[in-house]
Amino acid sequence: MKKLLTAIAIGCAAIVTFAACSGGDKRTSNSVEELVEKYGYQWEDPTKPILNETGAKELSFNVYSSKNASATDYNEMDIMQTLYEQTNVFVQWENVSESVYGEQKTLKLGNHKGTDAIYHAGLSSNEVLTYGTKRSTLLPISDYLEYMPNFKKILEERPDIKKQITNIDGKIYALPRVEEMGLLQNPNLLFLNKAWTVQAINANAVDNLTEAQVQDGLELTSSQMEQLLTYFKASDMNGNGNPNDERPLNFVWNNWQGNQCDLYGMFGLNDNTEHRIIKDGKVTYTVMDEAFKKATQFLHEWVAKGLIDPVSLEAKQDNYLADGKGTEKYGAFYWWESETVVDHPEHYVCFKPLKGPGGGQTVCVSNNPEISTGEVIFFRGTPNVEVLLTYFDRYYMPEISAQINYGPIGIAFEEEKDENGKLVAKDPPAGKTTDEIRLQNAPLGLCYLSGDVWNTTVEMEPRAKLRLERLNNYATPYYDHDKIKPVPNLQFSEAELNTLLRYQTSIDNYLRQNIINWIRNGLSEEAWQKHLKDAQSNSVGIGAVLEVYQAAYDRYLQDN
Amino acid sequence: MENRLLQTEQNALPDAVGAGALAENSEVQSKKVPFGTKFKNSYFARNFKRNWSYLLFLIPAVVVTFIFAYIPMYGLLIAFQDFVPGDSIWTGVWIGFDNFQEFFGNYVFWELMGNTFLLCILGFIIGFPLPIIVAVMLHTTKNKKVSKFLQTVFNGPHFISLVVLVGMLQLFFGRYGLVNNIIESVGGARYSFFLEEGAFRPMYILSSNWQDFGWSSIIYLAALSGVEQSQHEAAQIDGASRFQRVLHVDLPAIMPIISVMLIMSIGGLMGVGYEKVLLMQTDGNIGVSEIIATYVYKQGIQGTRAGYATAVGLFNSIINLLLLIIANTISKKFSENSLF
Repeated sequence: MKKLLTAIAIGCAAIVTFAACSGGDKRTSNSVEELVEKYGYQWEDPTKPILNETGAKELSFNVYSSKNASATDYNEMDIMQTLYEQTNVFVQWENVSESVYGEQKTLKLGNHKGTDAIYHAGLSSNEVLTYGTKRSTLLPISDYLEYMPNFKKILEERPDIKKQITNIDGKIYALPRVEEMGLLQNPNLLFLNKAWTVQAINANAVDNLTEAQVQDGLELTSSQMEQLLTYFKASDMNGNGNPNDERPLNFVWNNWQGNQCDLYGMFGLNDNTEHRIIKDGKVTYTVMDEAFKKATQFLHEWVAKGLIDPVSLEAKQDNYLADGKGTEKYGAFYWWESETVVDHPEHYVCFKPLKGPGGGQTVCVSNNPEISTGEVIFFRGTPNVEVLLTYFDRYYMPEISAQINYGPIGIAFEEEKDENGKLVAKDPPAGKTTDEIRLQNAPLGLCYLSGDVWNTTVEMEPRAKLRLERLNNYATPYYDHDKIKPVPNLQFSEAELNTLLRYQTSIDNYLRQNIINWIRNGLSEEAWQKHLKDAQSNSVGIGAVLEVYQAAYDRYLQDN
Repeated sequence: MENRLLQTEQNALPDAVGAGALAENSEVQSKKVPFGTKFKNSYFARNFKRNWSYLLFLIPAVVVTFIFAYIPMYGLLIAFQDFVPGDSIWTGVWIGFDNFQEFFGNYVFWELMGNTFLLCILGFIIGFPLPIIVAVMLHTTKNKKVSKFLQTVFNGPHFISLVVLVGMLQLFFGRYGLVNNIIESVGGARYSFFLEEGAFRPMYILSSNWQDFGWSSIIYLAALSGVEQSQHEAAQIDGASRFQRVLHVDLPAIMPIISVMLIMSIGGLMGVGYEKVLLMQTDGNIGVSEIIATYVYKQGIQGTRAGYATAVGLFNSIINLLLLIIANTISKKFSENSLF
């Protein structure tokens, strides 16, 4: 008997383990005419509700989305409630953390039962191609433009956006996020310690520099900079009794901002962390340029002399920001604002790009696009999908976009607009920062904040304004905008994507390994010649990748 | 339900312990099971009949192993496909051995193999004997309180998560970390542990061993406690020193365990995980820190080349299997001990 009980117990345990859940989609799909008739569906007037009261009760949509750790649940966010009141479209949000989404993404795309759309989808062009064209999982949004008046208008006004998001088969499978503040193109600004510089001038350590010149907008040649940095290195600048804790020039290696790329500008190179840039209509790799060799050899000198502390090559962003606080250690540093890096930003001046030995003076041009493709996707077979599309179309209205991106009126923005009719950012309550308020109350994601919107609807936050002003003074004038362009979002064919995927890791590893090795240990002429040969070869594949990019870029231009 | 399960288990356990000695059980034997006569009289059948209730305890383990280890193996098929997540595995695009050919032809192949092998073999050479030595030392310590205390201390690091461990490494060995501050204060130059290729392997291996030597020694300690005291006493009467007793009593006694552990570690030799390596990877050390596991991660997860990544992973597993079989065969030949 005892044994029988054992057997039953084990059996039960096993069955419980296998218990599975099931359930189907019980919503019914309606044609547009039925929607209009039954639920008062209207899409033309963006100020009126999309559905009537019946629709608000009977129709619902499930949207899957990642959210950052400090954000409130999207179902409870003020802006989402406001949207529900304005539109009568009921959206049930399913929030997961960003890391969970990373793991679940491909699974969700493979089996999307019960999910109508993914917000913050973050699909790469490869994934859009796979799930849009090849496997027909994604809804071709371009077939439904009629129901999306705002989005349609954007596409008409901005053919460049349309081109960047239109797949190679001519359809659009994902809604983009557009935030054009002009901040991402040049990710670095150079700051210099005022007091230290004056000290160096008084010690006669620098040629042709007077104390009066040490203010924002200062221009230095590389040799002046070298003299300054050498002085910083040798002396106890912060007066704490230790002459070795000063770090002359600082940056974060290969970071998306505050990186080393501006230094290559001394040799006329518009480098970026991908080392890929469009020059005179040709996609090029900066690492294949003779100037890159000279710049590397020059920078190696600085590393060898300790003017660039190797910690800049190894530390990550967090360490970098932490080290800037407390005792002043940084002589000069790259970042996009001084406030986050050091305790006393007023001790630092922001200056123009360094002038190289050969007279080169330009900046990093990054490939960070201000238009992110693949932000929201919809699945085929979603019942009443037109309503959902109209709902998300509302996100592109300027005032909604601003609230989506920064937080709702009343929390992130003042209730009352200023004299120009623009939304003004509200001061955060004591003890909280603007960033905290934003991360907590704004879903981010789908929005359209173009240059126009900043002029008419939303007042830019003061930090962004300051940075923009600095960029306009010290970065953007220093390169030829007609000749040098960042690589835009390009659309690739399947064969092209396969080539890119195949070489991606090898190029990445090859460049990462070699560039840092050259910087640290020097670059001989022999090594350079070998590099030129190796990089083109099939094992690394820069040549093949360039061809693909060039072809895609040519297509991009052709459509103009 | 749970309580009853616990209860029955508790009741069954003493029986199970004595299962070998338990010759008959009236309840079972009295029943006539209509099996074929040949089977009925066979050794297997008699054993089965006698012990069927104990064998039931095996079912969960067998089921779990089957479901989570055997069924997922069908996923290996994608190594032979041009696979995209979401595709059906049965109807995918079959491309034969193309993925393998691409990997063997890739210029990173030998570098990856070399890096993986060196990292693992060096870790093995240091990491295998260390727990044995520690276990013997702990076991021979006269003061049992000190021995217990040390054992607890040695186990501590095992519970540190990898991310935290690498964070600690960065704090201690960073350019402005503790170790470099000490180096500088005694007159040396600061050294970039995270940028120098030469520093990666020692740092990786030593930190891994530091983390796990105490934990791995548990199994040897258990084996050592099973050594009969009378043997030690006999050796003592014969005038053996403490070291001689370790050499001639303790070590031979735990030799079977050591050889089983040896075979198993050789089997898992190339199976180093990607997490810690990836966390410690910098541009400077990528030349030695790119191993098969990190490559698979980059291709499969970041590059969405699931088929190719699976092929590389499968190749790695095959090497592991071969190593295991070779180690087992050798062990069988030269000693009585083997896994299978």
